Amino acid sequence: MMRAAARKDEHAHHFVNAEQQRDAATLGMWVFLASEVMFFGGLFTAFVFYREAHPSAFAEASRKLNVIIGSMNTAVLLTSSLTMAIAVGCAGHGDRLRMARYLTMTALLGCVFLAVKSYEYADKFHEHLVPGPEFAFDSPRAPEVQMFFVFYFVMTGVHALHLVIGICVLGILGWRVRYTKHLTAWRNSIETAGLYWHLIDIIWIFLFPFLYLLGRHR
Amino acid sequence: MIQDREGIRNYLLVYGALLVLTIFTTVISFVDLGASNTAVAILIAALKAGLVALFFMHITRYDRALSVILIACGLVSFALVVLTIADLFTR
Repeated sequence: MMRAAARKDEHAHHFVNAEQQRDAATLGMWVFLASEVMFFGGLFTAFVFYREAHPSAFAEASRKLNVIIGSMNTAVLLTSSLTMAIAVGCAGHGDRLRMARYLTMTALLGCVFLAVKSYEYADKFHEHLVPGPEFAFDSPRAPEVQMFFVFYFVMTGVHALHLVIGICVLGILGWRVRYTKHLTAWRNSIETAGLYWHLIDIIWIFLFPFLYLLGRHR
Repeated sequence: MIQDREGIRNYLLVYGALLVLTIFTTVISFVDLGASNTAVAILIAALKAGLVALFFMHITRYDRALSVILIACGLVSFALVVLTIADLFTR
């Protein structure tokens, strides 16, 4: 019923017009993104707190991460943001197939990021750097190093979870857009999904220096 | 169509800047700048985040209601992050 209404007037019955519907959708997404910023802000604050208490242990632990892989993965995620921005741009021109292609490309780049991340995780398992009974680090500062890896796995893990959700959303959108006859009905979904995807990118932009780069020079 | 091409060119320029900044922040992290290393890393991250928000998320294209949310988010984040960290560093 609602979908039928959306197709006829391009907006659902409880909105005055399509523009109001679009404003409500994007504003809702921005509220959600603001809550995400505060959520990750808390994690970053806790990280800074512990890092300040144990600077040399955190620097030592940080050097166990592979900075080449980390920066390559940053580039992958930045590329996915580019393809996402282009996909949202296509919505204005009604270029259905091109938009579907860019959405799928974005989701695939997200998968590449996750694949590299899981390679990194596996590496940490082999090196016994995963916090828990198996953790082993040959240094008097091992407990503090373990604390760094608690932050590493929680922060990158929560970020990866966001990516998994984003990939599912973009995958479905890419598939639906390819076969839809009413592209304008999908425009809001694609724009809000784009905002979400860019925020995941921004969170990684901060995670990368905090986890991989600080303490690298010593 | 011209607008479209211009839009994509802007996206590519921003994307290039983001990649250059990523390489720069990675390289500079190996150079010993003393206490400035952290400041430089955070500044570059903030610059990159700003580029994404401005050019990919088009943060300025939304109406005034967004600024209410951004200001609220900014105030809470300020209390949460900046005040806590300020407390830590002034003990």
